[in-house]
Amino acid sequence: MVNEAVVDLVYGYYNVSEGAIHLVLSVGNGGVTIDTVYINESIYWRRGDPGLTVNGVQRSDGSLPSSAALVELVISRWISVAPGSELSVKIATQAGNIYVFKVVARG
Amino acid sequence: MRRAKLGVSGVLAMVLISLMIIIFLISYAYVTEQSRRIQALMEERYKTLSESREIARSVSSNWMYDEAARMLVLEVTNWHREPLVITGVVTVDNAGGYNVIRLNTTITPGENRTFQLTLSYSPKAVFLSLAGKGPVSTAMASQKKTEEALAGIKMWSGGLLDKIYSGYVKTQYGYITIVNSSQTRIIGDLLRGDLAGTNLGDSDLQKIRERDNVNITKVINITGRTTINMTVEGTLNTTACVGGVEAYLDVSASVSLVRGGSIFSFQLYLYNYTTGSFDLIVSNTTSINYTERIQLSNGSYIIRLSVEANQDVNLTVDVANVYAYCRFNRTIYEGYALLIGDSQEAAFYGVANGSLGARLYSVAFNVTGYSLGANSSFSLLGNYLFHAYSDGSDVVVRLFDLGNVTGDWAYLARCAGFGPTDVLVIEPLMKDGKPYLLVAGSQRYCLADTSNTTAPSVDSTPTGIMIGTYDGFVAGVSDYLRVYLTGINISSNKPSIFVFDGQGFSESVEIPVARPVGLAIGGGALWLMGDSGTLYKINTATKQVSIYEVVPSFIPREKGDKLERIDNKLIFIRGDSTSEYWVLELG
Repeated sequence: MVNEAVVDLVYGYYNVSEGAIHLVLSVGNGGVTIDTVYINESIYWRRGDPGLTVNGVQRSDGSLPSSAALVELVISRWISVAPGSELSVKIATQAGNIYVFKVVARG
Repeated sequence: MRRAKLGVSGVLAMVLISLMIIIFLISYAYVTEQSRRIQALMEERYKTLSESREIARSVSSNWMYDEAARMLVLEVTNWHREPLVITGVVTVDNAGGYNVIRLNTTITPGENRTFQLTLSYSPKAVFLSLAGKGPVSTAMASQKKTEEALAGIKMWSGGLLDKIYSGYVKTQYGYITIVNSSQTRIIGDLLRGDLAGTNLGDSDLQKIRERDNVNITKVINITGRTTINMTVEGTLNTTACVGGVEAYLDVSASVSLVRGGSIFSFQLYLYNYTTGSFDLIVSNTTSINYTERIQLSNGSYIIRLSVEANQDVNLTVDVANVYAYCRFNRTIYEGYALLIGDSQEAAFYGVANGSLGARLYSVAFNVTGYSLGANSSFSLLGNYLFHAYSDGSDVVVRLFDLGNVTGDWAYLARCAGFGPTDVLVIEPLMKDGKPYLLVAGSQRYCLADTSNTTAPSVDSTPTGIMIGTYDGFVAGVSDYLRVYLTGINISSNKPSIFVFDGQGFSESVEIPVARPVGLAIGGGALWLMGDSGTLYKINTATKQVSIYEVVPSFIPREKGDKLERIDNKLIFIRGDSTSEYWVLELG
């Protein structure tokens, strides 16, 4: 575990029709590299996989801007979930930190 | 040789032990250092996270949307001790979609900054992304700026009722007239008139007028068999009387012969204004003692004492009084009142100038074993209190006339086949110019015509609509055109307010309250309170839900419907075994 930037969820949801999770994150100074994203404790995305866009740009290495920023993540990985369901999103960073958020699935 | 071997072995052993001690010490130091570093990192991380939370608490932000300019006006004040960077704003639309507006603006401590951001829609919610010094960052919701918020934070103020309310409590505000129609009183001392046909003079009449016993003895001259009448006449003021006038007639008189002869009869008559003749009340030979209530035909009376004898007689009148009693309506209260009730009774509290007054009257439901909100409810409509309860198969609706509080509950109608219910609520409604009551269970309802005892039909709520929650939280309110009831949208599993318009459940509004404890209406808005105490304002036209900025001084945990809007105030009645009521001036 390294004292990297704090990541806080500003707004997020899982879009059932797109099969993608949208996360808008507030990231502090220092930069963060996402290693793994879990949904309901199952691996949803892993560093190196395709399907991650950061601020609209494909970035499979999971790296986020290196300075304080509002960051928009879209990760495309279809899962079977009903609209209205609450999902647990866990982000594990390369530095070993864990961030857990709750989002709702909408259609 | 053997000793040399032993010496070498000892040295090797000591070296080995020393090495082990050194390795242990190095390992211990390493582990200790690692633990210290990890602990330092954790402390640093905890400090960073704490600072993030502190920033969220230290920044205030509100927003409003300028429809004309299509502009989001965002106001942010930094109460934190350090400068903060607003890294962006996220706006959420009504469909749940969002827009990201990236910023990189520093706000110094104590600074208040207004941003004008171009936005094509009025957002449902606005969030800020903030970054502090170092790795600190946080997100926070901006509050919608309303007229109420502009007026500043408001506070509830409390008072005490004369009764403790527990559990499910319901309130309703309305204009009532409470009338007691069984009041009686003596109109006055009624003897008046003349003594025509007697030899009694005016001075004697004055004595007879007195209510206490009198003792008058007069010789009445009689020649031959003659009937002599003594008549007393009076008129009552009966304008305040209802249900006829009752007169209390109290006559005590006797006759005796002066010197021989015979008395043939001694009689008391009351003049009947309807037939135009005297009715015989009592007949005797020498004395009359009559004390009874009599019905007067038009408020006037004439009594006559008649003696038939063939010689002179002494007529002695000890008592000749008429008192009138009339039944009249006594208005206990006329004006606006707040109805507060629990499972046992409904109590009316006077309201003047928007303030709650003393308890005026209580009406007991007089049925036991029914719990408000579970299988019984009540409502006020016109000058009638309506009560409904489920007997397991039907819902029985009764009414109580506040215009005649000496009466009792009267049967109105029966919603036959309603079945057992988990929640019961009734609310008033005008339909086609006639007053109705909407009786709703969790998934059934009937519309009772209050002027008709015909059993109304029982219908199922539309698919997806459940009135109340699974644990019995329900609140309802009516503006007499529409009834608003809280419940669950089963399709989406979201708490909602369902709108009944007289024909059916036509609309719904999703609400952010799972356990509503009060719903009021007024000023084009619904006022909703959840069990956490948060107050929401819902625009009835646009269905927009916003938080009303108040500081709750109490925790309204109990289920029920305890919120009323009276003039420009909200009144909340606590149901958690206190007698407290709380008032919020809306401004």
